[in-house]
Amino acid sequence: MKATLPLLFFACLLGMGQSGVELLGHRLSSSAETSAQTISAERPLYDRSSLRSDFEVLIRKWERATHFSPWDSEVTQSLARARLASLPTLPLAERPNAVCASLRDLRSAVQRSPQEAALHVAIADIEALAPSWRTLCEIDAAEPFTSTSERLRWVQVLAPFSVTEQYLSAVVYLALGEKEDALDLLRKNQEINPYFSQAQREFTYRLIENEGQLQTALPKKYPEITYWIKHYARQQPAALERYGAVFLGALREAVTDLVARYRSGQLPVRPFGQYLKNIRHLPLVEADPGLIATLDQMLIDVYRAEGNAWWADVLRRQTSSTRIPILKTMLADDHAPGSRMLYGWTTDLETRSAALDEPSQSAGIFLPDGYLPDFLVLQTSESDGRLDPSELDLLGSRDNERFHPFLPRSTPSVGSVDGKATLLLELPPTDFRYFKIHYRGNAKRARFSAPLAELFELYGRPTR
Amino acid sequence: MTCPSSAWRRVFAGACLAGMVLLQASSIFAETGTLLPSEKVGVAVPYLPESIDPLAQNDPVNRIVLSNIAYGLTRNGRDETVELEAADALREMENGKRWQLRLRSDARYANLSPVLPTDVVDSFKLLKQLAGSRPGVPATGLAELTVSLADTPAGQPQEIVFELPQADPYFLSTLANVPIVNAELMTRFGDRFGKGTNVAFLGPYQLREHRKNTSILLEAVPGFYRPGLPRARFVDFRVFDTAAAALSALRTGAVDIIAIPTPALVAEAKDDTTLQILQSPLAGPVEGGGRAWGLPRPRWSDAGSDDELLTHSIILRKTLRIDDSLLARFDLSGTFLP
Repeated sequence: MKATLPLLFFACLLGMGQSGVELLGHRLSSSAETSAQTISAERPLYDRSSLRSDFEVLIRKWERATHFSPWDSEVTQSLARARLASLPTLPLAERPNAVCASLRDLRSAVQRSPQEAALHVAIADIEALAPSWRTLCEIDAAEPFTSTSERLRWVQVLAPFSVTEQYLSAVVYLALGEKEDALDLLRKNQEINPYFSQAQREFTYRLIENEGQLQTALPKKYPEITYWIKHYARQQPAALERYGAVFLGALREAVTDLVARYRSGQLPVRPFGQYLKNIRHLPLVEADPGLIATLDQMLIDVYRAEGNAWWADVLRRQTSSTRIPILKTMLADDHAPGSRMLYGWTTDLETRSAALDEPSQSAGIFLPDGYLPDFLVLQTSESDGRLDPSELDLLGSRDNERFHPFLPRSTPSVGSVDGKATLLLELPPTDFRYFKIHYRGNAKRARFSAPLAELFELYGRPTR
Repeated sequence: MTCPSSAWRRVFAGACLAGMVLLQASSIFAETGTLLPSEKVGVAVPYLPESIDPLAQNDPVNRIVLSNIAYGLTRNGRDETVELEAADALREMENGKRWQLRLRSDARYANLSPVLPTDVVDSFKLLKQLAGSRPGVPATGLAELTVSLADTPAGQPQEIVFELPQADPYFLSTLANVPIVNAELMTRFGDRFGKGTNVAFLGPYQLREHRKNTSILLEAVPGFYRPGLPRARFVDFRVFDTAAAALSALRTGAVDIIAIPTPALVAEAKDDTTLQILQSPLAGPVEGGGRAWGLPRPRWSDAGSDDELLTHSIILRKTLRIDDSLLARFDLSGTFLP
């Protein structure tokens, strides 16, 4: 008993000593952090000499903290970062020493915590900064990694889902000139990081220089893929057209992923339906009949579940028909619809907006060879767009000179799709090649408008 | 500007006001470059082609219409010069056996969709097919031409490469006669391409109406890449059955140009002080091969057997303002009536 008491006393004393050292280390770290924050916050106001002295103070503080917390890899990393940040304030001759000191700090820290991915990224960063680090810093220790790239690959093994380490690794890959690896990591980062910012996205867009790089960087998940498509549609429409197949490939993978998530129960039916609708409304999708059929097939169930049986039936008819690749035009001031020719043709996938309810305006259609028209779907993208079918005249022509009025096969049916008005016009069997949908109402403001690709679509079947 | 206050005050005030109005008016004219243009330039022709054919270069009327609605990568100017048109840069390589051209970035079709380098490649391929499928159509230098997209460095505008089996001194001139076609629309129109308004070229005008044997109405393309052009909003080609009716229409202002007159009409126009006679852009043989012009109709119905249609003169109203450099290929986009 007598022998245990001094032992206990010593144990307590050791514990108190250790806590005291930890407390001191913590306090010194906090002080250093405050200095670091002051430097970063007020950096623009500093002149070069005062900045240099402040960095010296900061580095001393981190060095002191390192003495008291040698096991804390974050403190060692902070010391290394402070040394690197001070580089611009140092004379040229002193900079290699600072870089080497940082590298040594980090290498000793990584020996203590080899599982710390951030330390490996920091070392890789310095190795990219000074590619001849071995000679420069006279380090000849045995290396577990044959190259900086291999170290970065190890980071992916250590922290496969850490968005911070992944992003930083991508930046280091860029510094190494290994763009493919950088873009691959940036893609993975977008796919798993819901907080991937617009600025990060803009940074990635600017890195793309060719089709191969686009293929690598393009995320294959919803909604990230839609951000890319919308960005290219807005900023680089020619590139979107040129690389359409790459975008569509990624979109198909994103749809497959959505379906898998829905079927495995990870995604409830309502957001699943909404995501499919959002994808279906992308103008790019119109260029891929296979993807349209896949989406529409699934949307039939979605709309039926929502209680919109009318549109589910129209969709079913659409999937069993062919969307005819017609040519379109809009004719303003068509005061003589029976004799005025259609001109100014554009493709079926034109994305510029037009309205069907401008007074005396006609929408024109040219039917290419080899198709038999069946029904027309008119759809607005405006939530308050309404169109009275009795204000529409249908006219047809064989030569684009004389247009003859005709009636639809049955009474036009009107419905609503996601709150937007939609009309279905059944066409009678005809040999007309040119069609006019002429508006003879007098709406004060055109409301039934949409991109031309969606405003009216003609469905039918091929004749050969 | 201040006016003196004296007994002459009213006179000076009036003069100041008149001066300022004149100054303002002259600045308006200076801004627009010229007087206000007329809406329409009328052209009298003896016939109209059945369809607008991008390859039928030796039919004079077809050629005149094409000159206004269908531009090529280059343009033939006066004195056998060749200038860049839809292209804005070119490089000659391998001693003229390989040419690399860059398409101007602001080139747009009449429907405002951009002209892409892939369109140029596709349209050349389609036109080659079209020429190959018609044995009667004379070769336009297309047959032996290979057109592809260049391996342009990333971030640079895509360029187009033309490869020839051997150097051809008339290659750039040939390009001027090959219109840039919206290949997708051309494919969709199928056999009907060129009939009615089923055309899709790059040019200052678009075909708005084509009434068989009656008229062709061209309308200015909005936002054409050459600032200030086209000057007149419409060009109206009207068929006249008789030379007398055409001359009467010219004298009364119903049309402004007789494109393909006869010797008798030229002789009569010489005595009319309101008219002028110029050398026609169609003077000489057809470019690219020295073929003769092929007129589907040799004379007006009221003309004598020796009064055949001329391709070397045109008759114009004197009041017409003409851009000579454009008229060098019967391009009326620089022409208007003040």
